[in-house]
Amino acid sequence: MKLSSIYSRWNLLVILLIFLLASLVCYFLIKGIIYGQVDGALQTDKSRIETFAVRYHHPPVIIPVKDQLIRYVPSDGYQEPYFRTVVAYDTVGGDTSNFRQLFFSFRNGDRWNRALVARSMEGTQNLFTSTVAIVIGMILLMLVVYYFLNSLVLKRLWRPFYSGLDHMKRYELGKTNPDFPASGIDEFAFMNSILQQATSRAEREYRVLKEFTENASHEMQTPLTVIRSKLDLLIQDKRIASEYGDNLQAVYMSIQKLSSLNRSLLLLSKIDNNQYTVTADIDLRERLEEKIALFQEVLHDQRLAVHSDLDDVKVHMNPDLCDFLLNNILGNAFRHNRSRGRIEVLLKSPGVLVVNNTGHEQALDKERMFTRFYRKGDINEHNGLGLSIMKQICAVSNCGISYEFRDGLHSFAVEWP
Amino acid sequence: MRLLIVEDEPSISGSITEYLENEQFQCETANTYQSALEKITAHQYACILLDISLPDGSGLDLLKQLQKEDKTDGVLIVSAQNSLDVKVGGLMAGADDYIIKPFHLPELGARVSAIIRRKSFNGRNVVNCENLSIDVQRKTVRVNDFPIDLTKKEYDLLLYFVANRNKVISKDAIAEHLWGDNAALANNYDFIYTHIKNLRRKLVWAGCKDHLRSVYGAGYTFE
Repeated sequence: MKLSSIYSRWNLLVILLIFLLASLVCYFLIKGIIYGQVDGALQTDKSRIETFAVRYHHPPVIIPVKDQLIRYVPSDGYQEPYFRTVVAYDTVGGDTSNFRQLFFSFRNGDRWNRALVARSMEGTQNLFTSTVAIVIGMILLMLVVYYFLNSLVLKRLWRPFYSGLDHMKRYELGKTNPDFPASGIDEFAFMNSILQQATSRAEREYRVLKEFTENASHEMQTPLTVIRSKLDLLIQDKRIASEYGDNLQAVYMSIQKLSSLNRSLLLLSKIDNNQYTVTADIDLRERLEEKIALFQEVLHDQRLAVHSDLDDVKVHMNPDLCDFLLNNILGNAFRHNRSRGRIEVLLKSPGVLVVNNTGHEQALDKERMFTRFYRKGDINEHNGLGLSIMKQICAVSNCGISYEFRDGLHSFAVEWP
Repeated sequence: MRLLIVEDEPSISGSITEYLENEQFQCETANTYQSALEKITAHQYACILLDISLPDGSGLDLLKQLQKEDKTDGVLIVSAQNSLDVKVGGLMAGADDYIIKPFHLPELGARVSAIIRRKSFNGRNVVNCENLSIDVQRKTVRVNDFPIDLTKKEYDLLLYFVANRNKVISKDAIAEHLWGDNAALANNYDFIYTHIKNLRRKLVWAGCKDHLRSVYGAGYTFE
């Protein structure tokens, strides 16, 4: 629920209560005033009748007037005057309405007479209905005003907040440099400045890390070259070569892996640096056929059954990245397979590549598989960067990449836009 | 023939010198931009092995200097950077080839031979070794003037061996020469054996001496 809705809900509730209370107070106050006035008028009528009776020894003749009623009734003696409110028929006005009555005794010569003066209270009834009407009207008006306030003013007020959030949502480390809009509202200005600080700090640290990776990788090249060239010289001594052949082979292999790890790290930082921007049309089918043949040759001792069904598909992307992508997706299928396992390579128009392979009995961890140095179990033959490279390449080439594990088959799918 | 190795890391220039120096090649080294500049202005080299990043300058500037002086020395760029920009930049500036660290010495040897071959035998580009002759332009091999049919891999392998004759070449270096970065995928290098066996069979069948020797565990040599 939106903050503004919660706020307006409470606001409305409180205002409604205050409004009801105020209208109740108003109602009783005005009612009191009106009663006071009517009672005052009735008192005046009373004193007129009393004065008249004293002077002329009989009460005045009653002339019927609208909203007024005077009646005389015989009486046994003096009675205290009292007021009451009744519903009566107004013969002159011709309708029933509330009447305020004053009963009192007056001296007519030596006898006590009793009189009733009454005045219509139509006004108070109108007061009640109009108060209710006003209250309902005001509440409706307030709802309408609130609605418009919410949809116009609040939306406008919150605009910097949403635009700040939007900037944050579109923000990618090392790619976009978010420029949070300035806001005249203190809270939002504060929020934006905090976000700006946080992103520039992340950006700075990311850059430092990236430079570190790049520099570290470059610095590793020289010692690797020294080790490799010394080894190449060492095996020239045939006595050493034949005596330590297996050990030397293991060292060669390790250097190979180390330099491949190094290449992968450099590749990742180069992709991050947008150094692969040139694109070209690539015949995927032709490339896949070449690569499948190559992998089958390099890993022929695995005796894998490779089945491929390739449509004629051409895609538009950076040729080097395409190469790395295919190497990795096929390389994984070949390498993380079991002996006499199976590989299916399916290429479908307009641009979907699916590679299924047998291998490890369990699915990869979908959450973590694309992070750097992710490894499944104890497999220690690869550097754990392949999937991360695939994902990165797909991201910069606008391809989708997905993974499934079904019926014992690991399945990677790459979809070109 | 004289070679100049411009490289700031003495261990590397030392290894290269030790590997390449023989009756045919004399190696000289320069470990700074300044000393390299003096050497290239004063002498003519069959091939210059040029490291791009030198402590006091860029190898690319040395290339420009060579161009300015109309020198025809062959140049092989040796770089730590596997970047297309540097590669293209180097080749545009007049370098003949490009090799990335960490390289194998046999690979370096093969590249240097190829550059010298291209520079010195304009047109007729044939490598002879006893009764074996390889036409590098047509990519054909003859034994005693009798053509033999080799696959692309076998041809590459033969040329690689001939360029590094009498040297022990590791399986690692062979795999990388033939399969490039993809060689890193393999768990072992047994797959090389098939190609070597076939090449050897074809050569011997055509009447060539059996030059190929296996050095147990370490690799192969062409004697």
